[in-house]
Amino acid sequence: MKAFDGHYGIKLGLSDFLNTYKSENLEFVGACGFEDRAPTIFQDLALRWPQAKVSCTIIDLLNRNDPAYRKARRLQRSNIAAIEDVAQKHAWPLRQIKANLYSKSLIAHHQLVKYLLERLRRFSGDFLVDISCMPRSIVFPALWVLWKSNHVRNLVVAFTEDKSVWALESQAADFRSPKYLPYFRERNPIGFSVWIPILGRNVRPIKKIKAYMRFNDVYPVVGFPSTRPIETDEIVRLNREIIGEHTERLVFASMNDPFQLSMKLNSEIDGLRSSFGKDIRIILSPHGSKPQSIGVFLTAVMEQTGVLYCRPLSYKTLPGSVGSSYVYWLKGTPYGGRQ
Amino acid sequence: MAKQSFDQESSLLNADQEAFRRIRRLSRSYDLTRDLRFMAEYKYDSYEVYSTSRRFLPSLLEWLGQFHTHREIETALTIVRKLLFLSRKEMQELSRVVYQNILFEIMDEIIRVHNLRRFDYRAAYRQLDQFLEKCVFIGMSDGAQMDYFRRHSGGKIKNDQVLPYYKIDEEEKRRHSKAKYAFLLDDMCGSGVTFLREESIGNRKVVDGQLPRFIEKWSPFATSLDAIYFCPYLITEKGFKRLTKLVSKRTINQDRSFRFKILYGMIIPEKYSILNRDNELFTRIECERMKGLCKRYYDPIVEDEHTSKGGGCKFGFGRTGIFLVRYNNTPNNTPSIIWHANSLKERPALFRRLARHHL
Repeated sequence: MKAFDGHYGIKLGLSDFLNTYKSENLEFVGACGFEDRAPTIFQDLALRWPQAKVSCTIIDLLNRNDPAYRKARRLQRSNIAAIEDVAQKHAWPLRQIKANLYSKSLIAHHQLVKYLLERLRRFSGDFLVDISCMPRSIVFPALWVLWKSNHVRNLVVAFTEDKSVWALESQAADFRSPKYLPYFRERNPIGFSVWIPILGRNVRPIKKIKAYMRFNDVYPVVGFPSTRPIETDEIVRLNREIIGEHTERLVFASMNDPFQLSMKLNSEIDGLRSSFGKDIRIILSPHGSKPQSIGVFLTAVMEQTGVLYCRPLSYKTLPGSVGSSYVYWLKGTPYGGRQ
Repeated sequence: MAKQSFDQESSLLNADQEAFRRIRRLSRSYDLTRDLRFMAEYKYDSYEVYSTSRRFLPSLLEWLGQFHTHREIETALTIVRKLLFLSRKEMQELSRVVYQNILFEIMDEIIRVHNLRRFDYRAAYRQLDQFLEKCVFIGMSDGAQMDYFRRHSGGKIKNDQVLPYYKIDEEEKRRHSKAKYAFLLDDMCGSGVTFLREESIGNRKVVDGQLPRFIEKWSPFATSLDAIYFCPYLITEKGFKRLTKLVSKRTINQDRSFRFKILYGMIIPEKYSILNRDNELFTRIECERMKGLCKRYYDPIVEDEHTSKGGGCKFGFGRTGIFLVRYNNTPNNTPSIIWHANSLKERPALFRRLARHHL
């Protein structure tokens, strides 16, 4: 299946996509935690594709080791009920998978990846992955599996913004030490290294990575343009310690469009590789907006870079508010796959 | 008030440091001043109208000096804290984004014209180079940086498809007479009044602005265009809505001979305007104080016959009410308190504006 190759990418409003594309055989993957936006895309899908044959997988993100478990469970209950209600009404098979976000080891993705690998042995069709509530430590490995599989005809990522923070996430309360995400580990840890962190509102993960790791050079990425133009300077201000005196090294790349961001990163990386050779180590850190993280994923698979990430240690249990929904078409029909 | 006496403490500081020290004395709020030096170095000093010896911090010191009370100074610093300053690098990034948006629009047009399947962008992309020959890219002002725009097309847009300005001679016009799609590029659209407006002359309503002038200058070829796209790198939501409304009510293009669409790099939300009740940047009290400041320190001398067409500059031309500065000039859509300096120096400017063009 052909996928986004760096020339153009398809970003659509969710309703535009659901109104114009019809899938006969769809696998929906989403995550359910305490946020109000958790069931939004699934509900919209049912509303606009009532006749579709959809198989659903929901990752239950809650864990008793979470210090805020009781409050989170209370908030999550209505989300789970809403999802179950939709699935039942449409007779869509629904399976729930547990993810352990609170282990010291990076294992949250295990159950989902195991399921996807097994499912792809007998399923061939379209995947719609709702990343609105899905942590990056699950998003990256899951998308990697789907990106690589020939059984995935169309890979579409969907995302609902939290209106209170728009594209920028702010639920993480604290962070663990940095680790390379599964499938995005560095192959050759020796050599000239360039770190490309995507900056966000929370400076702690970036500071942690800077404290733990050494890189030869750093090119911080700030979201620009943005649907909220004031955010760019706010992020620069917050990260002034990391940016330091090297403001001329700042890379501007879209806050809301993963394809634009990926194209920009690809061109920066190609420039570095043409100067320093293919062995140069490129490490990306997706700590900006969720759409930017999808752009990081695309660049990481296309340019074979490492992805270094600090997982949240705990979350602020806030329901947030439901904003606009978008889809990012990563692979399939628009790039020359079968329709 | 801002003029502090020179003392020993300042003797070893440079002009920027001294200005910052004095600014800090003017404000009781650390939050409002802590990032000023960083932001000055990061982007504000790059304002191209500044002289080498007098950049952001000395300009800010002088600007604050005109205000009479602590509250006014803090209101002014609050404006600076949430100022939208677009650097050259950011504007170039917007030019790149606009190019990508144009590309996508053309692919959609290829799908439509060639009756391809809805999402067959692959086939559309294959035909892109050929289709681009039907397009002409025209600068509406020098801010469009057409050379930069063309370079970022990776060779897809040829030299002779790009025109730095829309007012051209007959020969050049004939050379582009076969174009079916015109892309009108500009760095910014504030209220949209410069691009398209209705004016009352006596009992008559007259349509004027860059768009009707383009159609007139490019006559008779303009009428054979399938579509005209207005592509500002930056547009305000107010300007976008106003233009969309004007075009949809057939102020221009009455016979629907061409399609019209706006493709932009970034839109500035209406909720960034101090005149908007649901302002996202400031509290309601801050907005009221800012409006008060704009009124109290408004100098009517700033107005001329052209600015009156947009309702004056007190809250910015077209009553835009957004504090926006571009690296090469401050748009007149920004309230004049930021950019207007009178010759008596009673009203110093923070980012002095150079009048670029008339309507």
